[in-house]
Amino acid sequence: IVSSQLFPAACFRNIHCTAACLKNRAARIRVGKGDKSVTYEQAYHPHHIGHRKGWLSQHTSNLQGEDGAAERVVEDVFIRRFMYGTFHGCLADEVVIKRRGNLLVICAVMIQKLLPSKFYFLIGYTEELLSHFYKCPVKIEMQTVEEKVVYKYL
Amino acid sequence: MAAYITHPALSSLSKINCNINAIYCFISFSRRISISSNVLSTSAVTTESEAAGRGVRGQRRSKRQAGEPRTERMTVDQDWTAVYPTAASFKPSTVPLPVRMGYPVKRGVPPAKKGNLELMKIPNFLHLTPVAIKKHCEALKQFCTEWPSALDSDEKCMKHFPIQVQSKEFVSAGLSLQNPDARIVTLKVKLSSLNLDDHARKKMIKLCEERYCKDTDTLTITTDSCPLRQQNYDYAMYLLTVLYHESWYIDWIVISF
Repeated sequence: IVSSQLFPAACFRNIHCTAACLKNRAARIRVGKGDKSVTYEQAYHPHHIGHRKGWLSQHTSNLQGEDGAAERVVEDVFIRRFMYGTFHGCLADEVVIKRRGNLLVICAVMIQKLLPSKFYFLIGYTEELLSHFYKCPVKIEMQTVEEKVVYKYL
Repeated sequence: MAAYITHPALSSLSKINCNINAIYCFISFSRRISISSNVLSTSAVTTESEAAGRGVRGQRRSKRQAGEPRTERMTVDQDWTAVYPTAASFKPSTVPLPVRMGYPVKRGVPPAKKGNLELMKIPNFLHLTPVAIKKHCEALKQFCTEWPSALDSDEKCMKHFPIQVQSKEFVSAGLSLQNPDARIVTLKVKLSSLNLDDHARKKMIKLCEERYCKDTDTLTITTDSCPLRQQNYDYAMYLLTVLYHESWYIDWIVISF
């Protein structure tokens, strides 16, 4: 009876803990001496999305009344890591992912580092594996450039 | 260009199976390559075969020159539907327009189309030129029939087809094309088009409660209890039939409405 008198009546505070998000430093390349070359995608920070940059991934799940947004995000993350690893060192810029209904279109810009036959093999390998993972048709539309397209030097 | 690529793979395999003389051939080829690579070689097939062969042997690789983009060889009156037959992302080597996109650097211009990710991100309608749409329509015409000439006004349509059935189709981007909301069926009918006498009409309105709108004299039945659209449509028609027959039935046990 004594212990219940000590506690105040029904007044609780909760604490939510997350890992440090570092929202001020995400996806930003800091200004340096002037020798670092950056692409257009890297030069503009996340708050420029919608103003000076477009969206890297397009799907309808973020519209009103549509569901599946979380699943699409997880798929996107996996696809980006997969492309980064499969075409190691060849990616000139970020991978653009588009979804047209069931079809998953991956658009990538590559540096001409490998032979075209090797590129064709890796494209076929990626399309086959990803379509088996996600049970949907996967198409890769690839462009090649001689070297990375530099936007400016930071 | 794809046909040329398979040849060096086969030729290099055949060269591996050859005897020791082949190695001497490769050494002489490499010397020739170092001279010819300085000049833009037009014989892309031969340089490719030697490059692939030397790549297999693990020797010093020289960079193969990229060919000219397709835009150089495009005529003004070409068939654009052959370049972009379906929806595809923007390819700078196939679109002969000097498009620039992006925010310019200070005292500069927007970045050019080569390797421009911004142009690839946005959806384009290069596959939907008027010529392409005309071709689509011509191809679809053989599957279409004429609109019946007797139904040329709204009133005639309403007179002959008084029941309106509405259902929604959903298109979304995702792994599954099905949407559970596509099973909902809405049936609309005007009570004036049904054969009801005074008692039947009053009973029908009483049975429908809030599904009847007095201003437009429309009865709306929405069904979503079944999993398939066909089942929901059948259920809605069944409900309408039951309501009609029930409203004509005079139950003497009920004293007043």
